[in-house]
Amino acid sequence: MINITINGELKQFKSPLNIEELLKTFSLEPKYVVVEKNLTIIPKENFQNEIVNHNDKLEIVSFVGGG
Amino acid sequence: MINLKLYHLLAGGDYMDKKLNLGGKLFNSRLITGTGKFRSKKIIPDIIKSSETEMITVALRRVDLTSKEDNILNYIDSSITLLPNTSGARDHQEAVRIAHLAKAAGMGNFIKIEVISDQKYLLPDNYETIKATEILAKEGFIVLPYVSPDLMDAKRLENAGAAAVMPLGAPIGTNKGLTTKEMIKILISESKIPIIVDAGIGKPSQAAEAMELGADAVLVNSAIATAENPIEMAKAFKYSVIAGRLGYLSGFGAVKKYGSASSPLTGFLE
Repeated sequence: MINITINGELKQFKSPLNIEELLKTFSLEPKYVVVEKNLTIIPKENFQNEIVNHNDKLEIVSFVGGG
Repeated sequence: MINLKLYHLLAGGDYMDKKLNLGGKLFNSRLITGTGKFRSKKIIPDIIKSSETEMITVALRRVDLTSKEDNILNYIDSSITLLPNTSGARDHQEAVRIAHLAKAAGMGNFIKIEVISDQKYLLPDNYETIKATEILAKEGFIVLPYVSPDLMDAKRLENAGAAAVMPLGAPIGTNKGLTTKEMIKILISESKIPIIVDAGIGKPSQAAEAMELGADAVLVNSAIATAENPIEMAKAFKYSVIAGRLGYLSGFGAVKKYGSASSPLTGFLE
């Protein structure tokens, strides 16, 4: 098992996976989210190539209502 | 005095006005609306329709991994310009980070800089906002900074490359109206870039008042979102912004100390 911190919460996965696969496990649509891995923004076009490994820290954000 | 003939471009209404220019992008509507505090996201398309707004604010937050709620962008037509804010930022570094994340969403390069460290009145931190504006304008963002109305800070923002200055009328969500009116008048008189009154506008009459003063636009969120009937209130704000703007463009008559008859003072019946 590998540990990945997502939005401050520790999550466990069987093995390293790419961002697209990771988003799918949470039913998140890639077009509506922005992903930061270890403080670096991952462009949407790299979601398939970018592998998330043990101890990586992810921030997944999206737009919400605001003024 | 504004010469109406100068304004030969037809705007959205049935009157002559130049379009609002923010960073090279032109807008007919001078009412920017927010998307916070609505009871449901589902009402947003109706708010856009009744307000005829062309620019709408959104915030950026961590995704709730357990929630199955759909995204707010499902309710905002792609013809509307998105104005993401940096709410949650407490200094310029956090504002810059949020701006970068917002841009990576691929919805344009507008950003409303909002840096707040005062949790009681939610007043903006002008110093940190100027620093964030300097960085983001250089990077090519169209920067709309939300600030307390201070003339020197407005000039600093202008020099830093801001596309407009957005002074507050009153603290966010208070619906108190133009409590900073005299300071806003000074910004309008001295600024070379658009002045957009943001925060505190609670009633359509207050939006009209801001436009009569010569503000280039207003940003309204709470007053619409927390109204009993938000859709009708959005419409009321649309008309009030047009009325205030048209009044401003038409040039007000002089204020006089004594009465001055409107009807002729000759030809009375014997």
